[in-house]
Amino acid sequence: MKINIHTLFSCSLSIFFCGIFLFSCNYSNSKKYSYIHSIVDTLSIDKSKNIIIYTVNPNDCISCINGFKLLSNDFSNSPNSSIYVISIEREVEKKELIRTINDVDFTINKSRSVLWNKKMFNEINRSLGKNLPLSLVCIYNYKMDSVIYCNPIREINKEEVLRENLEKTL
Amino acid sequence: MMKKYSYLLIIAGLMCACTHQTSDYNFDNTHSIKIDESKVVLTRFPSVLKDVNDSIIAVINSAQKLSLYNINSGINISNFSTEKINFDSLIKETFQKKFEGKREYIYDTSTAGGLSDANCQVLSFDYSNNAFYIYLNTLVQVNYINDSVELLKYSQNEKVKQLKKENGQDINLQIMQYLEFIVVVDEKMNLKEIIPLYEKPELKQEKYSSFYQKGFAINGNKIYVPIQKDNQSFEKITSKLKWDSNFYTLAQFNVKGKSKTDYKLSFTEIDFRDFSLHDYFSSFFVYQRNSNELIFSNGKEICEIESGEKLFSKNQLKTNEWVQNFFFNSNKNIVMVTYTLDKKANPTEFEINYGVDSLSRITIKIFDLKNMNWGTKKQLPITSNLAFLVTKNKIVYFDKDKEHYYLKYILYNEN
Repeated sequence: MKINIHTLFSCSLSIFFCGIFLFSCNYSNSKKYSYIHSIVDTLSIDKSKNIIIYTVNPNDCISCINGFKLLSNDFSNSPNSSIYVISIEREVEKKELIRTINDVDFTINKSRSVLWNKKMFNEINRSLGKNLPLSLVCIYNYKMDSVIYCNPIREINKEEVLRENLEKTL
Repeated sequence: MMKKYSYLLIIAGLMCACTHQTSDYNFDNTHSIKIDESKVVLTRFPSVLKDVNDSIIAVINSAQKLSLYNINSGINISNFSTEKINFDSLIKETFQKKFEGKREYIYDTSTAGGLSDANCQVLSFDYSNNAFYIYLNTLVQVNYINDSVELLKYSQNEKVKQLKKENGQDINLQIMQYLEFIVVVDEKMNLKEIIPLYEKPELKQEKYSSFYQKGFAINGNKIYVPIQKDNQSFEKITSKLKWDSNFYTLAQFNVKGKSKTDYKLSFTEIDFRDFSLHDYFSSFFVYQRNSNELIFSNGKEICEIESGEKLFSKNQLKTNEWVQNFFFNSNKNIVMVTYTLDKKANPTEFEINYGVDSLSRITIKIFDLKNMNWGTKKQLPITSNLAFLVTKNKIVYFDKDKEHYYLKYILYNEN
């Protein structure tokens, strides 16, 4: 049986391209999403725009807590969704904090989610390479599963930097 | 022959008499008592533990309250809270009056107390003269309306200059400052007195700043407070402290009223040579009363404050080992809790910049002062809480699980 070289070449190319196609399908199916993605995935908030995530340690320094209060109020009317992750381990502490907080809006709606979970707080901070007990603010893009900006609240000098990153498209 | 044998026996006897045995201590099992949270919900481990008597300890809770607990039952006996103090009025009567016409103090409850409804930060205390002397501070906005000297400090600040340059015009500075007070409370937690802590002219002249939050001690009508030179400016928090034989550790003056300031424990008497700025703020400054003497530890060495005599040298510790708390046992031995910090194997950039190390060991150790060596040791399980209290017969600390906080104590005695 004579094997036409052209046929052989075409078959090889077909096999090659099929292989690439199958490989890319498998790769996209098994793409590993970040921990933050797995959290945001479960929340019923608008994910079409960049999301502002605050990880808050209630025992952080006064300046850091005041920084969080200032930012959360200043960005409360932003069209971007926000997520608050509060480092609280026990239900009794959550109740105590809710009872005593009077100048931060923790209402959950389609543009805000509040998670009272110390483990989540630690995991997010750890995944971002920051020291665990610090309160952070991050700008996160759900579609690209990418953290655009992240800094401890104590190190934020200008709110404009946050606004610029909040509007960034990837 | 018998004579020679007798001489040998006498010499052997004398040698036994001269050889001092290192003290041998016995540590009991750890007692664990659930903390009563019916009055105060704990949101973090209590800090600054001090014993009021053999069964009662005083602690600071969440930088908001001074709380008394019964060690044996865990019952929260009483609490002192600042919620009844009207800081707006207090500031008007004290700092505002003092600086009337020169400065304007603006107190806002939303910035003063953090996330909850607190109105200040309760950071350290001492128990003396059957009263609690509690240090607290509250954040206020200050307008230097006619205080050009103070305003100059800010306008000459490098970061402010840079901001002005970037903006190309004058900037609006909102200056926030901590105003400091000592609140005196009796054993029933009744408020007796509030002492405003104005800047002391002598300290200012010597270019020292005080750090009450590191811990202070009251002895009679005198107060001993940590001080640091203003020219300890740093590139980063891990930079070494500037050292000079003329630098002092503590200032001593009358708690109330004007008095001369004395300086105690020079840097030649107590060693700060290996301290970074991070070490200075993270180490534990501990005071203990021994008969009529006041004794102080900077986390590495222990000295008598008045005489400057060194009782314990850092050479007895490993390089990365620190003293958390101690009990000085009448010139016999020192019972201490030490902890070891190791460099992280793969520190993040943040951990490098902030000098964050790993806590690797917490140990109760007995140091024999006669033999100048270590005796019994007992390693404790690592916790995330580094607040211990060593008394004449027990080690006290707090621990927690997912649902509760616990008061734990270990009794000890000499064999």
